[in-house]
Amino acid sequence: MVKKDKPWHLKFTWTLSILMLLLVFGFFYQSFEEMRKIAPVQVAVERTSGSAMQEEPEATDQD
Amino acid sequence: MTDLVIINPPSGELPAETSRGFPWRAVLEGFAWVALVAAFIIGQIAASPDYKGMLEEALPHEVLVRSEVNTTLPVVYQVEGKQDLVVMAEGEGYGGPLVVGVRARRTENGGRLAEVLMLSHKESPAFMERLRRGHFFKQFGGKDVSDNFIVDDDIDAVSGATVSSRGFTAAVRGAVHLGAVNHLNLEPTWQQPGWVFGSEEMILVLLFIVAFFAGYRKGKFAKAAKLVVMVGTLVFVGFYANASLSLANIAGIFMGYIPSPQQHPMWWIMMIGVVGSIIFLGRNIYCQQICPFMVVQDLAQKISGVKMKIDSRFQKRARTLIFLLSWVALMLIFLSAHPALGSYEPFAMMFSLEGLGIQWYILPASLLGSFFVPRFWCRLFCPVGLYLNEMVRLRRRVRAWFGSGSTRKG
Repeated sequence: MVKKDKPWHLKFTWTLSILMLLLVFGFFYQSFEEMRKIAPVQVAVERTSGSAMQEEPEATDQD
Repeated sequence: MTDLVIINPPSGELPAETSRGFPWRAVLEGFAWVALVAAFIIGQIAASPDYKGMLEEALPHEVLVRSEVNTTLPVVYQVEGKQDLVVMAEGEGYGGPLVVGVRARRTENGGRLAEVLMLSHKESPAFMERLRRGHFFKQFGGKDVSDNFIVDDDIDAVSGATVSSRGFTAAVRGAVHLGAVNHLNLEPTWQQPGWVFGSEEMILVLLFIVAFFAGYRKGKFAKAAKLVVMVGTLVFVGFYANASLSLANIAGIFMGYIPSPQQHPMWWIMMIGVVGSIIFLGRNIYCQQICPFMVVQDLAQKISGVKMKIDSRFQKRARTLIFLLSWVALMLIFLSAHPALGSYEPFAMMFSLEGLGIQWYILPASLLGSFFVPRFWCRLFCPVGLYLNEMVRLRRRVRAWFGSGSTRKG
């Protein structure tokens, strides 16, 4: 006997899939923006000073 | 019966090319390949490092004089008017090469580290966040240049970012010891790092062995073995090592970001286990048993008990959809020469609970999907699964080509 799919199941999964797709493309957009921010020279992501022993905040690429 | 578990739909479900009219599909595929190659070349040219520029920006108040004419790392600079030495060296992180600059200050007995700069890296934000929160970088402050700089010796790795910890430490070690010998005239009294093959590597090897065993046997023991692999991979590969395979790993290989087996044996065990199972056994053992996110999805499915079906129209196009998504991701990766930028999978975030921006929404949405639809992520969005299954198919075609019986059970 063939089990028939419930229409609302299909609608739900369709919506969820489209939502995921939008989120993934949103991630790509976010990555693209990140990529534009990265200058050819990426500087001082992390700095540890021997004397101060403190980690400085991340330097921006725009310095 | 075949031994291939179809997670992504088979190639036969691709829309058949029409025999008449303009060959749109062939043109599009050609464009996609040309664009990928162009992105790769542009990315490599744009990513050509300007080491001196990096240091000058990092140390804006110092005048650096190159003491050796090196076009490749390591490069050594003297700080004009000071007793300081700056050495730049490279290490291998999880996402690719990372470059550090180490500033050593001469002392009566030799020298000590005055400053360590991570000048560039290709690690995912989650790993970097782990290192920061784990106060990993603070360990280097004020260390003597003749220290060992070996993880698990005088440096502690941060769990969940072990490879990044080792890569950073190796780069610092290389820079410091080069400066110590060549410019501070010290005799090497430090230890050399040995091969890293400890309990973590053993656990991964055991997981693969048990997974192979479980895949070929039936009965109580096989069931128990599957359970062991399931728990083991979730806890170890997932939460402990955070070593899921991702598109970034695959793209990294094409970009030449291959870690040394000495520094990162787990990467090699994983690759040999995954690719070896495909080549020698014709099985995608990673997706079937080793992937920790698969286990998470199966658990979500068990909890809900709901098994909804994906719209058949969507399911039929899933393979094309994943190719499209991974093409966009690869374009981003190649253009930026930064594998983590295109890696849209939620794995790293799932097991570290650290992510940026929209990643916070991709993870719960994929978990919600797998709560209602079995292996929702694997079937519709996972590029790793698609590529591994394509490798299995390719193996079959090759075997069939050489007439060795492609339909034989693996």
